[in-house]
Amino acid sequence: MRATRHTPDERDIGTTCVGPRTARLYVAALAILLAVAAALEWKTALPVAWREWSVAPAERSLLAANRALMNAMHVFEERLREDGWLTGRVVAPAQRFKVEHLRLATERVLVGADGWLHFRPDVDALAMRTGEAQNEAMVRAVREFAGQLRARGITLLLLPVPGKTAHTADTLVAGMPPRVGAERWQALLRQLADTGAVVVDCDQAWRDAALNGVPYLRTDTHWTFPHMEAVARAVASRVREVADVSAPPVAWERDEAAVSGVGDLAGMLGAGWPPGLDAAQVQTVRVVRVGDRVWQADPASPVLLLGDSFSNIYSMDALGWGEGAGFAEQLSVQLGFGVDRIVRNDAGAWATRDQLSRELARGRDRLAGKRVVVWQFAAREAVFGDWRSIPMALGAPAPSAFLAAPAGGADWCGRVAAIAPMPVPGRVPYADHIVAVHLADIDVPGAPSNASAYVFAWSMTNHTRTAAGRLRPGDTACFRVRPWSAVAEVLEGVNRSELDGDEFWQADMVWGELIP
Amino acid sequence: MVFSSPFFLFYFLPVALLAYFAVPPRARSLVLTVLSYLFYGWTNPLFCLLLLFSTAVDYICGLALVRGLPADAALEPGGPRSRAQRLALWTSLVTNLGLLGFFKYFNFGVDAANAALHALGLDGWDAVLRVTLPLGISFYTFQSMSYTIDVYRGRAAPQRSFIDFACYVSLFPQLVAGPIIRYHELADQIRSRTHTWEKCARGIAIFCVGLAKKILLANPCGKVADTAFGAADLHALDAWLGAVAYAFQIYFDFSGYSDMAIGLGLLLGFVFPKNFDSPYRAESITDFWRRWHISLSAWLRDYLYIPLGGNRISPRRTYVNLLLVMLLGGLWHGAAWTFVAWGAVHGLLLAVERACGGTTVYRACPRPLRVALTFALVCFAWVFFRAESLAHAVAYLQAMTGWGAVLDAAGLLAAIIRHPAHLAVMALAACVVWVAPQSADWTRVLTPVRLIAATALGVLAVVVMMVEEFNPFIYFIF
Repeated sequence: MRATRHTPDERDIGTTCVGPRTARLYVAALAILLAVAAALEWKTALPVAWREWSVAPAERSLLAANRALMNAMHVFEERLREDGWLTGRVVAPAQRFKVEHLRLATERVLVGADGWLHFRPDVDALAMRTGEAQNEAMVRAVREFAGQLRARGITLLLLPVPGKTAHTADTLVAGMPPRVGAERWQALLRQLADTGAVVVDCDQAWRDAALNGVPYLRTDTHWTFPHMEAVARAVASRVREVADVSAPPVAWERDEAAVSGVGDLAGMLGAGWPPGLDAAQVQTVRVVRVGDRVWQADPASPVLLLGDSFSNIYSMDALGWGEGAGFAEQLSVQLGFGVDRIVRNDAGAWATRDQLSRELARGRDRLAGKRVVVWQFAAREAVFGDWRSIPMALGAPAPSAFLAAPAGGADWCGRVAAIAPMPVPGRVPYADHIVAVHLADIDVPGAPSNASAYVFAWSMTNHTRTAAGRLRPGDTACFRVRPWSAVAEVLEGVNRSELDGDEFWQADMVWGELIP
Repeated sequence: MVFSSPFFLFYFLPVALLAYFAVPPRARSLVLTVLSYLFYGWTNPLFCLLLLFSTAVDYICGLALVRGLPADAALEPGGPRSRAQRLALWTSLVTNLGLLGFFKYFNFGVDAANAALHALGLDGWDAVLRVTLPLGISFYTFQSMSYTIDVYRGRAAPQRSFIDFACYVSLFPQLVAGPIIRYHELADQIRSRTHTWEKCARGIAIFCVGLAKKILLANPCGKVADTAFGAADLHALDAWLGAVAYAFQIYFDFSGYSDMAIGLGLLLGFVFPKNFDSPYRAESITDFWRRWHISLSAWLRDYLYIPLGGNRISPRRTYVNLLLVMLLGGLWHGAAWTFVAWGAVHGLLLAVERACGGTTVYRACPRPLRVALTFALVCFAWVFFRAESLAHAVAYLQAMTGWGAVLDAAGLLAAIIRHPAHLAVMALAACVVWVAPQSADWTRVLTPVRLIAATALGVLAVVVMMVEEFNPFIYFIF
């Protein structure tokens, strides 16, 4: 190596040819610009974000205190960005420009041809490298779960649902065949079958049903109604093959209804709207009812469905495609009797198993009388999912250390002792989220003076953070509470985050609406 | 904290500038030191203790080296050194390299040892401890070490003020990602520096250009590169586009950050050396290393290559020295075999060029071809740098050659890699790489039009920064 000819040189970097007046004017103008931008940011975001600091919990050890401080700093910075003046004024128009003029959507949405939108994780699950460790974790978790169920005489039936792009590749890249990734799909089915569980192949179900049309919605990540119905038929048939699932028949009635939605992918575009994208797509669904009553889960059913948003679509109104016509409803029709269900949007590899486990731990035996558990999850979970082992031990119903909400409701005020992690609006594919709050020091007549409650509340609705989503440990908050069971039918399927800790596994769940 | 973040631009920077210029000049080093620790501690407050420890050890060693000499006196260059002086130097070197070795290479060492033990059929060591890499440790340990070495060599007088020395080591514009500024280059500026409107104007302009390079060019290229390098399978064209995108990403990422550091330095009255000199216009690998990460190559040359004997002993020893320096340079970037392989490729290429008489192997080609060939070799080496493992690097190189069958799903990635907006950004990046003037040259003469253009680039970069979630910084992990 020779001596470089680019040594630090005052003449090279330190001096410049610019008129003194121009330099002064320029520096002054930029200083004013920076000062104005900073002042606006400070005025808008700092009062909100500053609260993160005022409540930093005291920790005993240096490492724990450092971790708490790092977390507070991270949250503080995120809040400054989220609530900033520029964020409020710049992001939406810039996002619209990106989508409309550059046909670039977001980190998670890809714009295809003819108004088709694709979910980037679906593409990644098909085309990106997968870790061997992830694969092993999936196989281990499924095998373990199948074993846990087998020990109680229950058969596990797996229903992985292929990603949209796997069947609509031609709408993303011109010249490609519609179906891609068939080899990887078959390999996944083989791996799952090797765990001892029964596997239903959606591809096969669609071929058998000889349906016309594309299996997925144009601006949504999920399946069309007819394709979902075909899979429900296939699953019902398989359930009958693998177990004796007799139950009192139900006289279901089905009403055809037209529903239209813009799709979750279109919702994730923010303000932008690609040229040529239709505002809404229409689906004809069959709403399931018994007499005047819309379908409801049957806790006594021999079949339990664990599912993600593929099971929620057409069933949960918040997804934008109507209600009463989802996968559980159609499966019930095909079986001739009702099914029980635990359904939660997103994180299908983990969320529903976790919820089942928590219910068992609380002494509520959701597996009692079950013969088959149908576990539906998006196939991309094989690549990105959380496949941690989860215990499925039935706990004794213990007196909870937490308050149970009275059936008629009540208003409770207390101190926020802990709050579960929350997603940042706009960074997650779903629009709504529920967060768990440990509310302490509640003053309730007849209860101990330091009574606690395990309260669930909206942290995000329609991609916007709510007031409860801004609570921090140490805050005082008042909630109008009801028993969770009163809202479970409607809210069970919404994404939610819970608090870690053994005490919360046994806690009575309470639904709360924050009182301003 | 990264420069390309709203928190830095709208909170830290205004406060820092206000605090810095509000205090009298004699207090500015103290203010700058406090601000720098705040900047550094924002990622992990505990890392500040490490920085303080490293600084204190080198400060004490520096004083020990000149014990008994009058204030501001330097040791005689080339003169004899006492045992105590040698001990002081070795204390500094062992401390700095020990910290670097532990924090950067502990996990790598354990993994490599376990792999070797498993290969021999033995049980590995189940290490409970996993060490977190402190931000910028590679940069500030090298910078801090240069102080004791410069003082030992008599190239600089020791710094008597702890605050001034702490200011030199922790200076926030270049603390976490360089340029690595050797002590003798900055010693006078630490003591006194001038603040002029012209310096400030150029500093703002260079900062804006650097921010634009990072946000408008490096980040979009990074998306393409991440897609290509994360793919299970790729068509040859996409593999090449991915490799070129990575070459652009790392260049604009790092040179953009260096520009921002130089610009911030000018605002605070410092003049930092240029760190890049259009490296992809190099006509050979030897030329490339005169242009790429100049502050690191100068450090390695002065404190490693020349002490090893450089090119003065024998041709064979020169090749060994080149290879050794590049291997260590590779390892400096990260604790993984891929970085070692990257260093080895460059070391071998440098040795081959040296053996062939400098640029002989390229002489027959016209200049554009020499530049293209050098760029292709650099891209080839970047594959090792970017890959997650050696096996991944080999598979990627195979994809670049078009060997083997490609899964049908690989075609999906064309929607991302060959998206017209991404291709347009890469074309623009190519123009900046091969045609446009360097930021330092472009800001040497600042007309009103250039000032407006630089500001517009900066504002556009801020807008894009607010919208985009993807904003990694490659050299932060080194």
